[in-house]
Amino acid sequence: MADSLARLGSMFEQAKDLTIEAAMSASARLSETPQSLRPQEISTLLNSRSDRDIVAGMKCVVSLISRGEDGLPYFADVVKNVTTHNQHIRNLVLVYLTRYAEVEPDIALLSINSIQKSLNDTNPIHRSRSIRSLAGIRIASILPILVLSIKRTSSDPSPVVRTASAVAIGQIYVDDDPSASQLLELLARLLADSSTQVVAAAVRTFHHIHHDIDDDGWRYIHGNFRRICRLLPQFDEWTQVVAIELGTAYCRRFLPQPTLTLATGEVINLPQYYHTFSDYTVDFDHDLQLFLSALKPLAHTNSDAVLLAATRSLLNLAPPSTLVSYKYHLALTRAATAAQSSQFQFVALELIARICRLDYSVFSERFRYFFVFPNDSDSVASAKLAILTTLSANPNIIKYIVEELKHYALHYNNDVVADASIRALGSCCQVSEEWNNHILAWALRQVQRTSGSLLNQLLNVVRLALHHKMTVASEDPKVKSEIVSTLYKLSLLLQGDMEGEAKATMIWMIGDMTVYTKNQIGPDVLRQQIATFADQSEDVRYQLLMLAAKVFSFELDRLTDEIDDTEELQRQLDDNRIHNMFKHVLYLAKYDNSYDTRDRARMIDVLLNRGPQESKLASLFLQVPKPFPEADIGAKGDQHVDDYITTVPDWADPATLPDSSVREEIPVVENQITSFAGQGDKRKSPSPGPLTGISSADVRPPPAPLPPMDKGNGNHTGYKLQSLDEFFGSDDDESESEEGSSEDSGLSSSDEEEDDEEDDDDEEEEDDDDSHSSDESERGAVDALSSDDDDDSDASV
Amino acid sequence: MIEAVYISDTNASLVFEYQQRLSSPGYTSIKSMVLAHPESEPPIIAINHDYYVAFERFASITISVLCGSKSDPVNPMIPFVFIHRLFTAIKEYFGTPVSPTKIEANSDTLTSIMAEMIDQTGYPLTTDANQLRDLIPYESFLSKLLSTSSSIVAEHPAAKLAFNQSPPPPSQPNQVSAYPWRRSNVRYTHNEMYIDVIESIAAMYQVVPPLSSSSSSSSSMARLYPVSAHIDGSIAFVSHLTGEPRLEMSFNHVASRIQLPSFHPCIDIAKWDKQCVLNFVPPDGQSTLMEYQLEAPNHESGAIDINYQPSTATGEFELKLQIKPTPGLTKVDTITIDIICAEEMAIKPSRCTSGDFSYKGNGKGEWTLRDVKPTALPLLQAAVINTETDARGEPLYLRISYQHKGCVPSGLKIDSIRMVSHKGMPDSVKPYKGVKYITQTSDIVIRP
Repeated sequence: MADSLARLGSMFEQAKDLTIEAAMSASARLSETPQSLRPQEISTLLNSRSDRDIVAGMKCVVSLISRGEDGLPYFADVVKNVTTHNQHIRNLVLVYLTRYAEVEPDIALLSINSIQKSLNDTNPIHRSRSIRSLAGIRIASILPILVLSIKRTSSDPSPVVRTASAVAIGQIYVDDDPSASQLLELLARLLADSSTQVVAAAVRTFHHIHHDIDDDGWRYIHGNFRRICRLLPQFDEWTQVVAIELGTAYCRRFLPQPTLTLATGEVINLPQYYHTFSDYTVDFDHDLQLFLSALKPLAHTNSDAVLLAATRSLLNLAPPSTLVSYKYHLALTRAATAAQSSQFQFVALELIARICRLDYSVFSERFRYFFVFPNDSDSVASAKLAILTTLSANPNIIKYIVEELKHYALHYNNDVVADASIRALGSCCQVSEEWNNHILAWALRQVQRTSGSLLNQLLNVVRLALHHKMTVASEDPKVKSEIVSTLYKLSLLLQGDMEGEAKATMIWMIGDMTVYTKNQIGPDVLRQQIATFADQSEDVRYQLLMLAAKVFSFELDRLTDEIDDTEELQRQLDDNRIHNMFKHVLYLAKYDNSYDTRDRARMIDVLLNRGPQESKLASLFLQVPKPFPEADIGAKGDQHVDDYITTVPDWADPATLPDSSVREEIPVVENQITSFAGQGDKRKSPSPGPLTGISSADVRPPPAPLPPMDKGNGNHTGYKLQSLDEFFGSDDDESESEEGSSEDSGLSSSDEEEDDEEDDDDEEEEDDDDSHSSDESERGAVDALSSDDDDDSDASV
Repeated sequence: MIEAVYISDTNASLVFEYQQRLSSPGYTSIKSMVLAHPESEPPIIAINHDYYVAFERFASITISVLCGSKSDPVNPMIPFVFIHRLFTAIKEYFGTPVSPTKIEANSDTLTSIMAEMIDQTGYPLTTDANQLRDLIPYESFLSKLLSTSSSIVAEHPAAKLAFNQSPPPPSQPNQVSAYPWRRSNVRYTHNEMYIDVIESIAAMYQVVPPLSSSSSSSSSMARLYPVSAHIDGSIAFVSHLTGEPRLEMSFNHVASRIQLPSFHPCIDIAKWDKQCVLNFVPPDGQSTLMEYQLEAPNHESGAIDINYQPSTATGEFELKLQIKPTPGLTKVDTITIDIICAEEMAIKPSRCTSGDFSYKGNGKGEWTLRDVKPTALPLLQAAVINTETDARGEPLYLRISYQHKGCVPSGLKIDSIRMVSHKGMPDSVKPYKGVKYITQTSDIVIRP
C-alpha cells in the first residue's frame, strides 16, 4: 500500500514537472504581446480603475522597455499610478520613474510628494524602496528635500530602511554641493550603526564616494576601522569586496608598513621579490594584523570576486608567507584547477603565476596541479606552463617539470602547447649547469627528428642553452670544446635536407658564435653552402651573406693584427680563401631579388672593403656580443586583472602617520526604537514618526554639523528603565521638536542611545515586545493619516 | 560600474535588457561585437578605454553586462559573479530549464528584480535569490495551483506526520529573514532534504614499460605511474524545510583530508575547522554547500582499474578495464575511452570484448561501453599503424571518462545529518532525507 502510494506520489511529481513546462510556454504565448497593443490601448489600460488592467498596462510598458523600445510616451499615464496600493504596480512605476524622470522633470516632480508619503508606510521594505527610488530620481531641484528625507530614514527603526538610506546617500552625493557635508555626517552615523547590514551599506557607499572626498574624509573610517574588520566575515559578498578594497587602501595610507626580520637579525621593509628570503618573521602593526586576520576566514568564500579582492589585499599588504599561513594558496589552486572551467580559472592561474614570480615556494608543493591535460584549452595550458616555468626555479622539483615539458612538446598533438613547452624548457636552462646540459642534449636529439615551428623553437632552446654556457663559464676550455663540438654537430645537420627557416636560424647561430669559436666552424659551413646559394630560400641567402661578413670580419681582424703593412695585407687577402668566398657571396647578394639582402650587401661592402679604418667599425658592428635573451614566457595577462592588483596607494611616509589612538572605536549608534524592532519583532516593525511638511525654509540655512557622537551620552538613561508611557512621551517630544525647528538637535538626542552592554540589542528581546509593536504600528497608521491631512497646509509653511 | 544588463537567446537576438540610465547604450549597439567574438577568447569585449562588456553563455541564453569604470580599476570578477547570481535568480523565480520565452513573459518581474539587484550607482545590491524572494514576491497562478495539489499528493508515508501539524498561519509577505540566504516564513507540508555528493577525478598516468632484465612475472607487465591525480567535489543540497532549522552534517574519515573547501555563507566555518562537520541553517531550495578538492587516495583512478600494455611483438596495445568492487556501486553507467594518435596513424582493432569501438579518422578512435557490471572485464586490443609506411606505433594518449552513481572516488560518505534545532518546525515532523553519490569523471589520461 505504502509502496503504491509512493509510486503515485512520484508519478504526480513527474506530471507536475511536465505541467509546469507546458504551462510556462503556454502562458508565455498567451500573454498579450505588447507589440499588438497600440499606444492608446496601453494608455487606456493604465488609466483604468481596475488594478488588473493597470498591471496589464504596466507589463506592456515594461516589456516594451526591456526590448529596447522607448517607454517615454506613456510617462504621464504611468506616473499617475504612483499612488496605487498594489505593490507590484508600485515597484514597476518606481523603476520606470527613476529611469525617465530626468527627461520629464516637471511631471516627475508631481509624484515626489506621493513617494515621500510612502516613507511612512508600515512595511519597512516599502519604506526602503521609496527612499531608494526618491534618490534615484535625477532632478537636481529635489536634492534638499531628499537630504531631509534621508536624514529621517537614516534613523528609521528598521535596519532595512537605514540600509536603503545608506544606499540612497551614495546615489545622490555630489561632491561640491552644499548638501555634501550633511550627507557625510549622516553616512558617518550609519557607519557606526548597530546593524551589520546597515554598516555594510554604509561601507559600500563610502567606497563609492571616497574618490570624491578629500583625505579628510577618511576620518570617518578611523573610528570604525576595527569594527569593520570584525564585521568583515559577516558582510555579504559585494560588501566584502569593497570593504577589503577600502581596508587595503586604508592600511597603505594610515598604517606602518610591516617589516621582515631575517634569520640574520636584519630588519627590512617588504622586498619586491622573496626568492632569496626563505627564513623570516614578519612584524605587523596591531591594526594591520587585525585587518589581515579578518581576511583569513574569507579563504573559504564561494565568491570569486571576494577571493580575488582578498588575494590582492594580501599581496599588497603582507609577504607571500601570509598567503600560505592563511591557506589562500589552496583556495587559489582549487579555483585554478576546478573541473568546470570559468573565467575565474584564468584569473586564478594568472594570480598564481604572479605569486610564483614573487616567491616560488608558495606553490612548490602543489606543482603537480599545474600539469597540463591534453584537453586543456590553449589559454589554460599556456597559463599553466607559465606557472611551471617559474616553479622550475626550485631545484627540488625541476626534474619533474622538465620531464613533463618534454612530454608536452612531443606527445600532445597541439602546436601551441608544444611551442610554449619548448620555450619553457629554454628558460629552465638557466636554472643550473646540469639542467642546461640535459636540455641541450635533449634538444639536439630532437632537432634531427622534428620539423616546422617546433624545430625553430628547439633551435631557440639550443641557442639559449649555448648562450647560457658561454655566459656562465666562457673561459673554461672544457665548456669551450663542448660548445664547439655542439656547433659542429649542428653544422653537419645543415648538409642534410632542411627547411629554410630552420636553416637560416642555424646559420645565424653559427655566425653569431664566430668570435667565440675562433672561426672554427663558420668558414667550412660557408664553403659547403656557397655552391647552392642560388637555390636557397631568401632567409637563408640573407643569413649566408651575414655569415660570410662575420667570418671575414673576424679573419680581417686577425690579419690586421698580424700584419701592419697595408700592401702585404692586401696581398694576403687576395690569396685568402675566406676573403674570396666573402667576395663571391657579396657579388651574388648584390644581384639578389630581395631588397633586404641587396641593401645589406651594399652596407657590408662599404664596411669591409674600405680598408682598416672601416673594418674596425665593421667588427664592432658584426661581432658585438649579444646580451642574454629574455626568455619569453607566460600568456598575455588580462589587463583588467593586472590593473586591479597593482593599483593601490603607496605606503604612507611613517612620519605622517596618525597616532593609532585615532582608531579608538567610536560608540555604536543605537536607534532608540531599534531595540523594540529586534529579532522577535520580525512580523511588524514600527513606522517612523510622521513626515512633516518640507519647505525650502527648512533647508536653506547651512546645516549645523552633528554634535560629536558621544556628547548626548549622559543625557539619557537606558531605554530599559523607561516605562512605555515614558517611551512614547519622549518619542513624541522628539517628533515635535523636529516639527518645531529645523535644528538638528532632535536627531542627535533621539538616537544617542549608546550603551555598550546593549551592542547586540537584537538578542535582548523583551517579553512585551508584541504589545509594543502593535502599538507602534497603530501609531504609525494614525500618523500617516494625520500627515495626509496636513499635506496642503504643510506645503505652504 | 554595471551600466546595463542584456539577455539574449542563442541567435543573439535580444530577450531582455535593463539599463541604469537613459543614456546607456541598447543591446543593438553591442550585438555585432558579441556575435563576432571568437569562442576561444576570454568573454570580455573592450568597447573603449572606459567601457567593456563581460558576458557568459548558458545553454539557452547569454547574459551580457556592460561595465564602466570611471576612476580606479574595479574588481574584474564582479560582472561574472553578478551574471551567475542573476542566472541563479532567474532559475529560482521562473524554474528550470531557463528559456527565452519564460524571460519574455516575465519581463515585469525581472525588471523589479534587476532594480533590487543593482543600485543606482551600478553596484550589485541584493543578489541572493532567497533574499530577493522576500523583496519581490512572485507566485504565478499556476504555481499556486500546483502547490495546493502537491500538498494533496503529499500523502507519502515519510511525510504522513506532517498532516498532524496545525495549518500554518498565513505567511506575511515582504518580511526580511534573520538569515540573508533564507526566505522568511518558509512553510512546507512535505519536509524533505536531498543531498548530492558529486565528484570528478582528474588524473594522469605514465605507462612504465616492463623491466626487460627482470624475469619475475609481476614486473613483465607495464605499470601505470601516477603523474598527478586530484579530485574535485561538491555537495549540492535541496532543502524543503519549514521554519529555520539548524542542521549538522557529519562525514566519514575522508573529510579530514579535504583541503580548504569553499563554503556557502550559511556554513559555520569554525565548526568545520574543529570537527569537520557542516553546521548550517540551510538556504531554501537549491544550493551548493561546499566545494572541495583533495588528492586522490593512493593516486587511484576511482572505481575503474585500468591496465594498459603497450605494443610488443604483435604490434598491438591492450587495454583492460576492471571495476573495483566498491560498496554502493552496482554498475558504471557509461565509459568512454578516446584513443588519440598522431594524425598520420590509423587504429585497427583486433579484439573488443564488450562495447563499441569506432575509428573516427585522423588518428582518433573511441571505445564506448554502457552499463558495465563489476563482473565484466572489458578488453580492447588494437594496433596503431602508420597509413603510409605501415610502421607500428603507440597512441599519443588515451582519455577515459565515466559516470556512475553509488559512491565517489574519494570515498567520502555522509555519516549522518541531524537537526540540531528546529525553530518554527513542529517536533513531530521528521523530514525525509535523501543522499546520492555521483561520480562524473572526464579527465583520466593514460600516456603510453
